[in-house]
Amino acid sequence: MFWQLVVIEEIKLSKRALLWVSVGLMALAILALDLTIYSVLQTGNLPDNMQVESTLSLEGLATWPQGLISSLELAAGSNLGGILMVVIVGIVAGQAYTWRTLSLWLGRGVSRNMLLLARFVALFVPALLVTLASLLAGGGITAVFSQLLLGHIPAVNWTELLLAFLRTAYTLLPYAAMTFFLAVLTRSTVTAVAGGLSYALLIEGIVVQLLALAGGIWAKLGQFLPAGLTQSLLGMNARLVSVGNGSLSAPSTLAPQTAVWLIAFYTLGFFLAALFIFRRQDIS
Amino acid sequence: MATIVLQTRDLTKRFGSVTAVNQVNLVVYAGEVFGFLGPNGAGKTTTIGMILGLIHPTAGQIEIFGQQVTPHHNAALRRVGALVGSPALIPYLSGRDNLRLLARLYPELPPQRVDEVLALVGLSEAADRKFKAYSTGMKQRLGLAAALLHKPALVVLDEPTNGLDPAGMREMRQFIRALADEGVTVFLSSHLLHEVEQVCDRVAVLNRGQIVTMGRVDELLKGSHEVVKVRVPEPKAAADVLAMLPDVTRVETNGRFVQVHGVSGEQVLSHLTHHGIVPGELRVERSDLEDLFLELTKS
Repeated sequence: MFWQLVVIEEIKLSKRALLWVSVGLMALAILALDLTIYSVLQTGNLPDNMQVESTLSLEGLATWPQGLISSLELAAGSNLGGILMVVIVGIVAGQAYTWRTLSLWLGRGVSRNMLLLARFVALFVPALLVTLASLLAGGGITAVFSQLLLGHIPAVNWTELLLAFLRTAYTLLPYAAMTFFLAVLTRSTVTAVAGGLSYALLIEGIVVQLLALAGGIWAKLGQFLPAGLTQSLLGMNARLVSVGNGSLSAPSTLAPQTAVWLIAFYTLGFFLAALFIFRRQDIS
Repeated sequence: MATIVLQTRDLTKRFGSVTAVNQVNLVVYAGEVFGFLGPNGAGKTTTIGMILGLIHPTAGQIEIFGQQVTPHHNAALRRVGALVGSPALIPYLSGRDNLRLLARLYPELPPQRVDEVLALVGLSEAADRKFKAYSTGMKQRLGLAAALLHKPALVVLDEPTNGLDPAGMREMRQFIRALADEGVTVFLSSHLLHEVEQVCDRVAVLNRGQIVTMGRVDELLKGSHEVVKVRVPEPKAAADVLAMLPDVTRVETNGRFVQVHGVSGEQVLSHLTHHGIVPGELRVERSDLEDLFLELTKS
């Protein structure tokens, strides 16, 4: 029954324009970014003192394997991918209340625990799709640019690319889970989306800044917020470069393994909080 | 003895200081059409919400097919089909896709069942239109199709004729009776009293969260009194004369008619002629469910 519910949720999601518009937006955003970089490289429109370094840096972004990494970065939790996930999850989870479709399943003997878990698990697919859209669009266009600029497409470690893809999609989960929790708590699409976006775009940044100002141990706490965890995991994506044209160092000081556990903790925590509320709700 | 399909015991729901449903005891037997009546705000939909495991009762118990039902123990609801208020289906999916999605919950259903129920409610031609593009009546029909999809043994219908035209309403009544004839138990909540009177075997009347009466429709109406209507040239004078009859409970004038409650037609005729008043017309009417309902639910 549980997997049947997950399949039902996936079918519902797959027939929503919202999902495909979001995936399209992700692809368009990365295409626009890469095309801009390429056009800057072609016009050479950079200050003289930055010419050599910046050209090399931009060329790296527009070609494999660094182009793949930057494509994935845009899909990450603290970036456009996170924003799109907040919108998708907020609308999908909130509209179940406004459309009263929860009663459709609960009134047929589906258990509350199973229903909420299935709805939550189903939201992993949009996370994968948004990341995949970014990777395919960005990977595709930077492959073309690689051929044009370097005369060949540099080799990549496909296993590392798959791991980088999964790591990036994984960074979307805390934002998705938080928005899901807000939708269940408030039963409102608007509040869930607004709350999720406020956190992702504003509150998290402010908190990190305030913690940095406080200094000492407080400054380190910022790393434990979802954006810090995202940075830690994205730092691992630099492994893709080691088989390409250079090396990048991970900027985060938090161990990636810790980040993996903390993301799981946030995701599970928000889900359990949502479940706690959902089990007590009267559904009209 | 008939099998009990649905039973509530002292079912109560409070929202803060407001008691929406107060110690409701219902018994619904297998194969009957049970009417659940009450004015707006009486607590009907809240009661149905509790029966369907959507609303947490504050107190009391619900049993369906002998199994206790709560929001956390709702397995018995797999044999229940429900249409509560305006149907809540997925607006961006077609009627057929909505039913196909629901059918996934019942692997035992044959693949043609979706088309069968669509035909049953007269939606075969509109099956591929999106639910959000349906008229209110079509939505109601699809909601009914969804309720009947898995051939439930108990069907809970809350105002099923909402949005239907007169022909659709009559069709729905026939449909409900046909369900009962097939052995399906129907729990019908409606404010259309004539509808309930025509299709229900037993009714319960809910007022301010409490059951005020419950029983067979014919038995409830047997206990109700007759109303004698007489057309007279001077209704006011006739009403004063009739008010003197010892058993009269109420006398009302309505245009050239006088309505007398609590006495027989013979008594009215004899009393009027004794006082020199000759009625132009005399009718004896039995109270219907509407009169009974109004009397039971008046403030």
